Amino acid sequence: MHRFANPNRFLRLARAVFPWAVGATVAFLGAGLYYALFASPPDYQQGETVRIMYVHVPSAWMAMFVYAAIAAASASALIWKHPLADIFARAASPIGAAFTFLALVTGSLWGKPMWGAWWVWDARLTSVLILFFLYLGHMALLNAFDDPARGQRAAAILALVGVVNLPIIKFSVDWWNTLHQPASVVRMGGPSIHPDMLTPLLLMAAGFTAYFVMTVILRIEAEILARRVRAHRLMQGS
Amino acid sequence: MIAPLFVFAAATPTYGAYVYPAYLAAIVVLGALLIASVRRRARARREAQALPPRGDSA
Repeated sequence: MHRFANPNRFLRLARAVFPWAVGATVAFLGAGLYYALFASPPDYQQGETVRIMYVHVPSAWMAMFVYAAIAAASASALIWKHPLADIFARAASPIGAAFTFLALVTGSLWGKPMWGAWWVWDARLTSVLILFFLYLGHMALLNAFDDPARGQRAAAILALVGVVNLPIIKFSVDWWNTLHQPASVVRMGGPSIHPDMLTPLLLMAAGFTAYFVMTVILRIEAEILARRVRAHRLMQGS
Repeated sequence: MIAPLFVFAAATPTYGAYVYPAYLAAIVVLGALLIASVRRRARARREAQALPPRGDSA
């Protein structure tokens, strides 16, 4: 990882990966949407509403995955002072917040016809809402100080403290008696979903992952260039 | 941004009042974030290209 601490080396790699990430996003999301909206059958209980799951579940997975990645980057920034780790955390935070927001909105749209309520203070829903607030807090802290380094340190500490929420989200459906259904894909004994429904779910998850890689590369490159411009202006001012 | 929404609306079968907004929300949120990120990088590139070459103290 430390090999890519040099921004120029990282940018060369990122520019090589970027077209593949764009291609993978288009291909996986295209195939995923086809299976999700046309090729997969309605559920015998949920009917057509099951199609919301193909957006909701990958969004929730990405919300947790991006937060874990931000926490790992924050640890790297605090311990090893990895220069790109802070940039990655700053670039990834809005993307993770967007996925969390999508998971909450699509979950609410599924909850109304299935549970009869847009929202319930269920352990899974509440812990994901806390994750959304953690993302907002992370972004706010990054921009809260005149000295960006202080903001980055405070945000990194928040990201590490917030990691405790990830196992709570994952196991909330097992630890508490919740309205939210238990795990049906990532579970002991393998997925309990029929392959006709697992296919669009995994394709959409792959598409969202590729979308994350594509967008985070765009934002990292923008941040590296913006820092270069800021450093140059500071040198001119001094 | 608007055109893909119309294409999506025309191509999608009617699945009721809840499926449709879920997919629209995904398209709008992820689309807006992507457009903002592309614009951000374009602005950063423009500003970086406007800098004098390295070693030029003028």
